[in-house]
Amino acid sequence: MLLEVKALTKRFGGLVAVNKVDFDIEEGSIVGIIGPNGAGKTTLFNLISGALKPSEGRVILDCEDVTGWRPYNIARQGIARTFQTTALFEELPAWVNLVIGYRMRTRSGLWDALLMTPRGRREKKEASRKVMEILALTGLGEFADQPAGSIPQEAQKRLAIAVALMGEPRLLFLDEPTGGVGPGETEGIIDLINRIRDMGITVCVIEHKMRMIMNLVDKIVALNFGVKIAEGPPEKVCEEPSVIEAYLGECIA
Amino acid sequence: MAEKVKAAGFGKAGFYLLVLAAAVLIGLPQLKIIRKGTLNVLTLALIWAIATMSLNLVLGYTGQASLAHGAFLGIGAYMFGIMTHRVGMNFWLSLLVACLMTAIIGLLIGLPSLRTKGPYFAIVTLCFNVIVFEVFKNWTWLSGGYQGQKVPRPTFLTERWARYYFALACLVLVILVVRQITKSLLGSSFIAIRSNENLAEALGIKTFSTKLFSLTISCFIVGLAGSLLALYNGFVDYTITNYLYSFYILIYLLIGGAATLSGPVVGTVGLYWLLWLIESWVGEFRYLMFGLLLIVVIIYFPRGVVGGLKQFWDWLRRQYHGRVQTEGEGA
Repeated sequence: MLLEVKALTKRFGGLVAVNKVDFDIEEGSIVGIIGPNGAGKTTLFNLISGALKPSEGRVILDCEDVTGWRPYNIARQGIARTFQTTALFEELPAWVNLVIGYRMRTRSGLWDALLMTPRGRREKKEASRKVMEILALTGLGEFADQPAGSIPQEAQKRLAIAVALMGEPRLLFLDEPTGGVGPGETEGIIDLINRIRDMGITVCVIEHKMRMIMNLVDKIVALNFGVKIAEGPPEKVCEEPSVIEAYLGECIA
Repeated sequence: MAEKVKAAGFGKAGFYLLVLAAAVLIGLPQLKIIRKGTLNVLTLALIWAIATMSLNLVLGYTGQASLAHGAFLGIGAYMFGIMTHRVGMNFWLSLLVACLMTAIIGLLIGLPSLRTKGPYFAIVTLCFNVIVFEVFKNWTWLSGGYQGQKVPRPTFLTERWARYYFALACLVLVILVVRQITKSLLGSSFIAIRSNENLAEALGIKTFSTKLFSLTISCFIVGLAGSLLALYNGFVDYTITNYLYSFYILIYLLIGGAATLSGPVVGTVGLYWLLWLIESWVGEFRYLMFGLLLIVVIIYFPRGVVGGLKQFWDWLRRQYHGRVQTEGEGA
């Protein structure tokens, strides 16, 4: 198992946002996390990526306990993430965004900057080669010089994924990668997620669009009110009564 | 074009501006029309430009609004004065020690204060500056009180023009250092924190230690500015730690253009000169005009004079795309 989540719990005062959630992610797979609004999906992401500290439970990445680590240490350990509201360095050109994504894999410091040491030059060269590679993978070449905040919404979503990929992650968490993107444009992003998996990177994705996620993922984890209500292959999960109730309950009642 | 306004890079327009400024600044003392007073004002302006440059690193590039740079300036000045006069250290060594001590104090102040963000950081650093001011005012054994601390000049700086060129050389060195940093991978960490701290942290950048490092380098540079100021005046008194200086530096930076390489120099030298010119006929009212100018610049050129010029330059290139581009390269 690449990632194991054990009895993860987060309380905000009296509210239990995530309640004893267990699941694991197998290396090389795509896992989907679904659930209605307020189910605790993003909180779960924040707990795993270190943005929030869990009240209880464990997060184990490749046999190493990373529970409660600072976000930058978790990122360095190989877990990358994107944000629901697309987070980018908006006033900086797209390629600079990518360079920043690669920064944690470089060691250049002040002396490398001042004296232009061989290491400084080598790492800069590596960074630009990696930028070219990721630009080609994500098809963002035409936007490379434009400020990240000024490119189309769908391209911004791809850029956020590209920035996360620059850090050479083993596990990539995507928080609604197709949120706010037009219906005709989601295919490009699904295609990109498939290609990322083919590169050997494990992907975990939060998604609302059931139809999209059914064909994409190997396994689904369904949440409601912070509790895991179902886990398993997509066709099984959507037949579970609890999932149907969570999604359609209001309509039936 | 908007895409060419690279906060991270070193725009062509800015480069030409710097070369032009350097040529003018090097040539100025040779001219007969330059009076002694003008050269003094210019020397001081160059020293203040170093201080503005240091704030640019921590505010312009790293996005942390330090209002303690007046205090750090004073600390650098006193350190230098004490090292040369009381300890009797060699000139170059005391310059180095003054900068290092300022950097260390900056590091110590950064440790608690950088845990706060945005305006809170500005308030905490401002408080620190007020404390330093009071301390230097009251600890006369340290500051010398109203009499101040004597700062002997080395023989090679007795001439007016020598001091001018020394300040200019220091400024050029500081500009080069800041340029190297902002163009490097280290600089990309700084800019990432300014732009989106949460994202930077999620991307594996150690935000706290990076901010601390930026503040420390900045304090090293402002320590140099303080030492030069002490050297220029021949003495320091406690008023050099005044928090008003923090605001002056801030205003120079905002008007010149934060996060640009030439902005701090243009802003400081331009404003310092302007304020000196109008002093004789408007007196203390000049600070009113100072405020008015700041408002105009913030409204119409939010990125300062240099940022505005860059935008204008890129707008021009877009208007006459292709044709002007080839001419522009040679210009």
